[in-house]
Amino acid sequence: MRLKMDIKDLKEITNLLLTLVSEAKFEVNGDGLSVKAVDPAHVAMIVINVSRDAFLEFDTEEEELGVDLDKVRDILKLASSGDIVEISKDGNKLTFLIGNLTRSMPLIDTSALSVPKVPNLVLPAKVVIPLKEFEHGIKAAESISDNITLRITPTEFEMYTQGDEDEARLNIPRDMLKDLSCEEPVKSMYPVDYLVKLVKAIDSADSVTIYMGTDYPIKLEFEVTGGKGKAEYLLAPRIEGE
Amino acid sequence: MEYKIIAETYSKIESTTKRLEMTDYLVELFHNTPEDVIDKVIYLTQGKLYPDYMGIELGLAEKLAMRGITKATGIKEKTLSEMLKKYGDLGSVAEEAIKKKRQMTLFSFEEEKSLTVEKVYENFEKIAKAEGEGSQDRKIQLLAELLNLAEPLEAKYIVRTVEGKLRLGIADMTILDALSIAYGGTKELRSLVERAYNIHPDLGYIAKKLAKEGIEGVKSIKIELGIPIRAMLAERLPSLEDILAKMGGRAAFEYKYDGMRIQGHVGKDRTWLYSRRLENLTSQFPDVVEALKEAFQGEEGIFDGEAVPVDINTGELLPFQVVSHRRGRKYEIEKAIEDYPVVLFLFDVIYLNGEDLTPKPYPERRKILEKVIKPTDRVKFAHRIVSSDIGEIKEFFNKAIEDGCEGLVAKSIGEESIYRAGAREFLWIKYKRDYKVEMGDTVDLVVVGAFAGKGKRKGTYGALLMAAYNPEKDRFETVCKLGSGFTDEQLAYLPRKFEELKIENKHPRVWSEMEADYWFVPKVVLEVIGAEITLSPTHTCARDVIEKGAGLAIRFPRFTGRWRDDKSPEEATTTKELIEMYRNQIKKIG
Repeated sequence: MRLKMDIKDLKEITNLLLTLVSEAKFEVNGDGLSVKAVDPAHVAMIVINVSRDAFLEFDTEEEELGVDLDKVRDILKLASSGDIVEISKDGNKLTFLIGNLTRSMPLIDTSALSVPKVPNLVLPAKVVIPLKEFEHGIKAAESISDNITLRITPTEFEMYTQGDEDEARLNIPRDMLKDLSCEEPVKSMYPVDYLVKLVKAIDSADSVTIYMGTDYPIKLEFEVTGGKGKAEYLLAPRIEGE
Repeated sequence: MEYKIIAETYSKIESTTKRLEMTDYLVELFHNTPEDVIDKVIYLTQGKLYPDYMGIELGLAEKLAMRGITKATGIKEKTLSEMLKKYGDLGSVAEEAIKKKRQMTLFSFEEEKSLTVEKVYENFEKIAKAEGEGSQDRKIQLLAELLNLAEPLEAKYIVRTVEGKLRLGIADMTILDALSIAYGGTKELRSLVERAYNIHPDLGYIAKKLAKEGIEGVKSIKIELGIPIRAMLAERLPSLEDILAKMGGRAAFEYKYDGMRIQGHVGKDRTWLYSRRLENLTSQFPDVVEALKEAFQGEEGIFDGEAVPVDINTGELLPFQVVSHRRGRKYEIEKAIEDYPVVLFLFDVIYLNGEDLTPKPYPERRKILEKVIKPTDRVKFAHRIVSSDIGEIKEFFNKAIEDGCEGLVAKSIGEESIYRAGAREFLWIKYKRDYKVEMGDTVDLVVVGAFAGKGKRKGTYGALLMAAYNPEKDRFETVCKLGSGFTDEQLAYLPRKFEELKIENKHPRVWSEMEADYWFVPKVVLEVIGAEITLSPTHTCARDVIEKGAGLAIRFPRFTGRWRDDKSPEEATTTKELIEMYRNQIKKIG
């Protein structure tokens, strides 16, 4: 197996996964690369699919790779932007070649890595918003509470947070959104720390597509690896306490 | 099967203290249980995963259980600790925590979110067996996974069970009742189920047999090598006269050793030892395992006996506490074996080379036992007599007490005297002494003889024969064998010290019925402290004064380190003083 890719793309994939797990099972085949991970508390899940077009070189059989992501992060620190990384597998070893530097690591037994089943969710409302706006809404909430509430109505998208005394609110009317489809208003509350980590890790997307329901998980869809890959991020809600 | 059904049953059981109601709830539970999980349901209801004798226990530390709750609910450990103070048990904390849980999981929204018995059992099993690096995190994760799926009530019992603290207060007999009712309800079934339980005390196994094969399945359960049998127990009567009468005027009387009841299973490749409570003791007593293998002259056998630590030099039986610290590391066990060797006194054989001997009468079993066991230093037969003479029996009782036993067990020698596993009936009747004479003061005793040393004491004396002085008769009457309290140097020096006092035969002023290896002129006086004074058919001190045929003996005598060179042998403690000590210190016990 031999893969060549932009270091920036590897970094993005790794950082996204690291928001939830420290080890992951990658699957590669003729179409490209895919990876799924769920955090130990089963609160969030990410599914990433990257097309072979995202790679500078893509020469591989079907493979399953159990990878220690903390080690990959260490390797990424050794690279500078613009570098190309070549990844090859030899027996039970995964080797990274960056310029004149090679760094290899043992693969993890994939049977020890559970691959989550993606839950079947019915998500009635959808909105597409610029990543920048989404980021704003989350950052505003972060300092106020550990929850953030998202709401979609037929006329607008709203993010708000209520602290003991403080409050933050971001409202985007329908005509300022790329897309909004909603028949009945929906509203759910989510843990903000998961979203903070996520938006930090998203690198190449300009916008996010949000699917949600009431007191129900959220699905965020966004592009990765400069549009040649796609990620889905699922997050379970918090139910408002008494 | 849904775990919820179990949790709801537990909750009902906890709300009652009436055994009949508990039984009803269990019957209802068993009715709702598919046959292939009935064993798991029963183990879980007992708060465990396997029958006790397998030795695999659940018992997640409170701290780890708490971290599992935090992981599943998002509630901080500090908050949980405060809740623990309020509720008192972590199960109730988990119940509240799940109620308060605000963070859902992704899988909370799927159809199949209910928790099954199989899943609970599987994760518990993984938690019980997890070891090595990272096992703590795995345990926490496995618990959190269950709690993620659990409803509040389920969470309560999951946490209690995983901590090993379920404690529903259901006796095994209640489960047997419920099983018999759930699967037929006849009296015959109840007694068959109990029979199966007594010879194969694994309720899960029995339930599964019953569920799958019905009454015939239960009938087919047999004694199996390696699986402990519930021990036969003895009833109690207040006097030896009553016992003899109850036994029809004649019976066997065995020493009731004050040690640890041990059931030994010897196979071709493997040996198992079980306690009376069916705990596996094999690894704690490798010396007993070896000794039993050596003594047994057959293929497969199950034996019943009592293990007692013995002082190899005085032959005294020691209190069992001296070996209780054997529950430890391998090295410590080896050391303990050397310091306190254990002798296994066998009194019964239950199974031999494929044959269940429990239906055979006691005299026949004892005969078989004596045929298949070749006694050694470490495996002996329980000391016994068969008698109809109350005087002889009383003397035997005194001897038992003097030798460090609790009393006697009378055993029926009739045709009906089968081995009744798990039963406490009048086929065996115990009689324990009901008094004790503790020794408060030291005594000064005269050395009149000595015994050759064994083991580490080879080449010197193992014990000294000690006597009190009887001024009326002007003679020295023996009262104990003294072997403890000497330093190694003192021990090595003893033969030289007594060399000049050594005589060919017993000194004429010494009255002893014991045959010492060496006899001395009574001269040297030692200060001795003992644990108690008992009646003794062996020692001659004050014979016939307290009771006909019995003298006095000192149990667990110990040299205080003081050589009473200032005292002549005639100034030693007198027999009269010992009689007074005995009479003044006598106390009721038990």
